[in-house]
Amino acid sequence: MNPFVSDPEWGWWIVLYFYLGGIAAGAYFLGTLIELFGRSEDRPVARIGYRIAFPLVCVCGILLIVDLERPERFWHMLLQSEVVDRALREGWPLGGWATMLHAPMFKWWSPMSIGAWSLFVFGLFSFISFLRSVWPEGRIERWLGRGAVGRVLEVLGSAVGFFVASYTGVLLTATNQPLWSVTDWTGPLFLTSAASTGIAAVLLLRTASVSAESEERLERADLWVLGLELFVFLVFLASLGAVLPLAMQTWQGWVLIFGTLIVGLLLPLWLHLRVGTPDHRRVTAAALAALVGGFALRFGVVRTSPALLAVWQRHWEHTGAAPAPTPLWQTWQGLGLLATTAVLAVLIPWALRRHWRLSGAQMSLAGLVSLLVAVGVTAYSFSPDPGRILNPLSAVRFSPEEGRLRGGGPGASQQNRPSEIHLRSKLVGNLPHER
Amino acid sequence: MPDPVGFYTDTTVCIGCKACQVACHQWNDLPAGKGQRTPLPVLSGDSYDNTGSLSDVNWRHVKFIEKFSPDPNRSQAAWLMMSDVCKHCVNAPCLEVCPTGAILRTEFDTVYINQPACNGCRDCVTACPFGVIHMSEQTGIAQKCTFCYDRLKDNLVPACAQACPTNSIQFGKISDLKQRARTRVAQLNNENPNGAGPGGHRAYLYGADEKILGGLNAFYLLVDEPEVYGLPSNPKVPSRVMPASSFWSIFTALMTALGVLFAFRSRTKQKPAAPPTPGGPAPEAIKEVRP
Repeated sequence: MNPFVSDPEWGWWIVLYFYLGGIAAGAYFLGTLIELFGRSEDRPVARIGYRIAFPLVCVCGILLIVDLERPERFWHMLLQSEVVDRALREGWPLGGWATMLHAPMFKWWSPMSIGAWSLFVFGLFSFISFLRSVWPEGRIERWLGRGAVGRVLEVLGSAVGFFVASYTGVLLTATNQPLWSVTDWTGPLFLTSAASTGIAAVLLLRTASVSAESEERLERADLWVLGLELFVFLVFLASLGAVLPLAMQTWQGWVLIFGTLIVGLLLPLWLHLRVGTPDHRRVTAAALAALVGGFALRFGVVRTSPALLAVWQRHWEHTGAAPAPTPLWQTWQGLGLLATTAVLAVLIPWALRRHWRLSGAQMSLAGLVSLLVAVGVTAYSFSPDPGRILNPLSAVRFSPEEGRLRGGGPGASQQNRPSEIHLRSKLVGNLPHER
Repeated sequence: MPDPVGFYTDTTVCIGCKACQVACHQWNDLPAGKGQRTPLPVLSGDSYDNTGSLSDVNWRHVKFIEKFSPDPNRSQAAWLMMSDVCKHCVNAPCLEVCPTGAILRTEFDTVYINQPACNGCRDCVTACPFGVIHMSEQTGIAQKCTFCYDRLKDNLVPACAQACPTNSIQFGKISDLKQRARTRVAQLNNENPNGAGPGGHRAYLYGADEKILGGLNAFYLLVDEPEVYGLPSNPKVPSRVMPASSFWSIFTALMTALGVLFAFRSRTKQKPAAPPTPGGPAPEAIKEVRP
């Protein structure tokens, strides 16, 4: 953990964006998967997903713009401002088109740059799907919803939805902030949370057009996704290593760990165990719990990181030394996590077997996943530097900045370079005192 | 293209006079105080350090690190002083993540924020491992040392290095600076076989070689652990984690999609609402999940 960074002051707007963007993405890819592989009787579920996704994406765009210190420059995320300025000087739109064609701004190694584009593209896809869901027999449905064009749009839309669901986590990992940067599992965790909160939002807004069978299938999907999220969450906690005990010294850390675990995962899982028995209140309660837990997760992850800076500072002032990077298993928090993992790795397959009588193959799969998670949590807990183990692509270099040599050219700053840097300077006008 | 230039800061000769801070403020027309909310200089009251840290209006900051022995009389005392600044990393995290392309590598190999392009997203703040970049309260734009780009263009020494009375901050070509720094490290360690720093720590260079972010164009001679000076031992380029994070995200996406597919391809059979059967499920539940 690096405690010497500044707090970027990512607050409520970003927490809300991560949360609502997750719900939108989850509801959307649920819809596309149902349209691609589901039955026709499940279409109403997909339509609810589409009707949730687009309005939320619009809200997300507003949240992101409001969060900027210079909101009027939001378009700089998508277009190179220096190139646009040049095109305008050339008389665009009457001229300067050749310059303007080079204006798009895209850094594929920067999660925020890719994220801005993916949100833009996701907005287009979700808009088309929204129109289709509102007018199921309309022209948009006839032109873009059926045949090969419809399938291609659904496949692409699904991929973009999954991307939007997870990139926010990778964005946090690709920093040097405490908590955010120590684990590779925030992206997968946000993805599963997007799925569970997306399904929960669809369950909450289900209408009479959704059949009881569709609702049951939706609950089963939610159950699978919640189980997966629980396991990813346990691995995420273990991968925090020595940061986990520090996080538990902050109330934001408690919201992250127990808000997510108890309200967002265990409670809805328990309520869903009785899937197949139609009970409106039970399903609604499970959906509400998953939504509250999903918010606790986003809030906890975003706000625990700056809180850790204060914890570290207090520790330093009292002891004159950094907190020792103790392997997790030597702390009571680590032992608690190992015990919780062991119990859940046994309990969940057992509960599934007891309540649903899964087939032998399904039980084997559930058991295998449980075993893998137990092994992963144990490996992380016993490693002195857990953030960087289980790293399958450690040798891959991702950006032109990494490995750049001294004097090695512009590196990752190839785009949006002005023809000349104009620095406000005392050399212009009054001569400085040196001369 | 000119040779890469940088700062070599020898912390052992820093006397904490803050001439560098004053010169930086004066040359760059930076306001006094800590910003809009506290426009006047404020004394911290617990140190000779009255600006506290780097900020949007303090692009240089002299750290006063006051080390006392743990005994009740604090019999051993040492002050370490270090003029902190943007490190102008060779592999710059802020420049790498900046989504608007506002952070540029100049022809001098320094890192520069192009003010008209920045939209205040603060991604650079999350990425900088040294806590250098801060947002201007007045303009909402990321602020940090420009390495006196205007002065470099006119063959002038940056204001801070020009003002430093003890030559703690030295400006020059990186190759020359490294040579000078290594000579000084050897001298200090030869003259002080029991260690040049408090607690017997030997002198060493921080950021001169490629180990830290490919090298720091503002590198330091230190006589204690980096953390004592508020410097991280092993900062990383943010994109380093993206392959692994993306791999696990794609893996999880496939698992999620498979689960949803299984759920929606399976046959379901509704049963009426009834209390759960003690000791196990109803027999019809056996048929419920069949992918």
